[in-house]
Amino acid sequence: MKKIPWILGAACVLLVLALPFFASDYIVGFFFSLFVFVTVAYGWNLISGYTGYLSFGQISFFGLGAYTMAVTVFRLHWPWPAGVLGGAALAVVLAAPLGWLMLRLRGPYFALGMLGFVQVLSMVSSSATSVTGGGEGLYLPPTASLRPLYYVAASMVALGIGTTWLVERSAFGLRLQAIREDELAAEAMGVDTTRAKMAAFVISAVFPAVAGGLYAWRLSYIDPASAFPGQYEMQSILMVIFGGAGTVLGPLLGGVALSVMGEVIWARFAELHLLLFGSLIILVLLFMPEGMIPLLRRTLARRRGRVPGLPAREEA
Amino acid sequence: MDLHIFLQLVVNGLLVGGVYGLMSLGINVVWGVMGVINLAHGDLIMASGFLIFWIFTKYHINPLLLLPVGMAMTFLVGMLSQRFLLGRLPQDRGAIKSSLLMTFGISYVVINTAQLLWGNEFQTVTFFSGSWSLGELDFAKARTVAFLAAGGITLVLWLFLQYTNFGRAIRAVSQNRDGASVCGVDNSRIQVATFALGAALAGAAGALLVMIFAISPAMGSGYTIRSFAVTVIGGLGSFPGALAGAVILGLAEVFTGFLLSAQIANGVAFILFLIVLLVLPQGLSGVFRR
Repeated sequence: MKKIPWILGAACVLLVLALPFFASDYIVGFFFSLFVFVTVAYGWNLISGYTGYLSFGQISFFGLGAYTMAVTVFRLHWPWPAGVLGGAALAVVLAAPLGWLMLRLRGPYFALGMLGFVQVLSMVSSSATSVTGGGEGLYLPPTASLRPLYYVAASMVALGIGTTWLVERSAFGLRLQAIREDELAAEAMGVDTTRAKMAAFVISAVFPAVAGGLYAWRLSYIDPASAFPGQYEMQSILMVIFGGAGTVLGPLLGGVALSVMGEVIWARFAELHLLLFGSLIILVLLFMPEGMIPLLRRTLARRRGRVPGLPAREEA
Repeated sequence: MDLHIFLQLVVNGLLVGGVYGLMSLGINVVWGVMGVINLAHGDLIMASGFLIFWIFTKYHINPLLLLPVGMAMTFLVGMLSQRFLLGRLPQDRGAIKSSLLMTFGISYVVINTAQLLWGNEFQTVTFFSGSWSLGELDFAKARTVAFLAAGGITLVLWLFLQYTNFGRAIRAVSQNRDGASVCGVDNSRIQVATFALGAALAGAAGALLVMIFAISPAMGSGYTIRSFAVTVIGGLGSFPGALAGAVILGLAEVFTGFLLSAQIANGVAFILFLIVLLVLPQGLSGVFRR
């Protein structure tokens, strides 16, 4: 029994690594966008799932990464990995002062502040015409090969899982969860909440930035509307709460489940996407507020004869 | 900038500010009474605007007469949302978070529905065209009518909250939920009514905004942030504060639009919001109270 998760995990990794060698471009493209979404979701999970600061604006870092990629490739003619790294670096540079400002706001103030920040960035990108091309956008040279992008996206997911796993098992992660449960009490226990929150915010900004860069390079066109897609924000939030916010595998599970469902069922109803995803958020909140992972964990524990309700550590 | 242009911009800012005031009261009341921020507020504004645009293009009815239709529609949406969705969320420590996420989900349902019904383009209702002149100053008819209507509705709302039993019950819940409950106020009914009232105010604001600005399905979050910013600037639960905040935002937007660009004016709400939260966390009304 104990070995099953390991075997499953190894099989998944092998499958992901080998996929581009036998699957069609369509399938690889599907998994590429799945990985991009899941990467954004892992970023959101760190700040909102673990720390409890609901952000409706992590997509601003996605746009930042997308524009960094576009500008480094289109204007500076650097190779695309430089765009990815540049986007991540800029995200850190922007997230540190932004976090310092925003994280003193709590609850709805923070949530709406971040929502407003997206608007400011998209406003900047449409008015700074000389850099971003304004409303007309920037065209990137079409991608020759999807394969390298696919592997970078897959490793970002791996990085997301790894980071979250480390956070979950570290004192840092405990500090974040203490902030989520009761910030005042955490402070009273001697947790340097400002430092912990800022660290979580900065780390969580890197993921969407890299995802945005990859996405821009694949799309080979970027304008303010495609750089700050509110729809992606919603999709990644849904992935996290569907899978289980504040869990290591939740975003992955939610992302895979929703993307596969989307591809199989909803591809036919493209114009209903927002409606369906919005309704799913509502349904998850009403009927499965904890998400899938805690549910599965409890079911497994029950089957193994443990007392239901007691926290059972996963073997995985 | 000469004095004439300056005064003209002040007039424009004041007129828009009146509508912003009405719009923000919807967020203000719901937040004050229930502790919930309705992230779909701006989307309800948009939906009401589109509904009125749609009826107007079909039958050419005076959009002011259609205002109650927009209000009724959003009232119904608000009532159903609170009764069947938000009201069912567990009222524990995570209540604020889950209600934010829930209204976030609702907002996308509203956006998509509007897209399906009315398409993705920018639309506006041109009914009161031209302007009245007072000395050197122009009062655009649409803006003036919208301002007056917003002022009227705001007054009615104030009278309702101040002098009717239902209004008193709403204020009682906002001051002390348990105390009101002990005095025989049916809490869950008040919550449904309050949320529906907030949504109806969004509907009214949408009906007025569609006369002065072009609207599109994606514009909602901008107006949610504006309403929230006005509430933060003015201070929660304060009528005069809300109006002052709305005028400040209206003036700031008109002036940035004139001096810089209309695109930058869209970000003004966020910047004011940040400044106020960092400098005067209690809002303007907190300053006056001190």
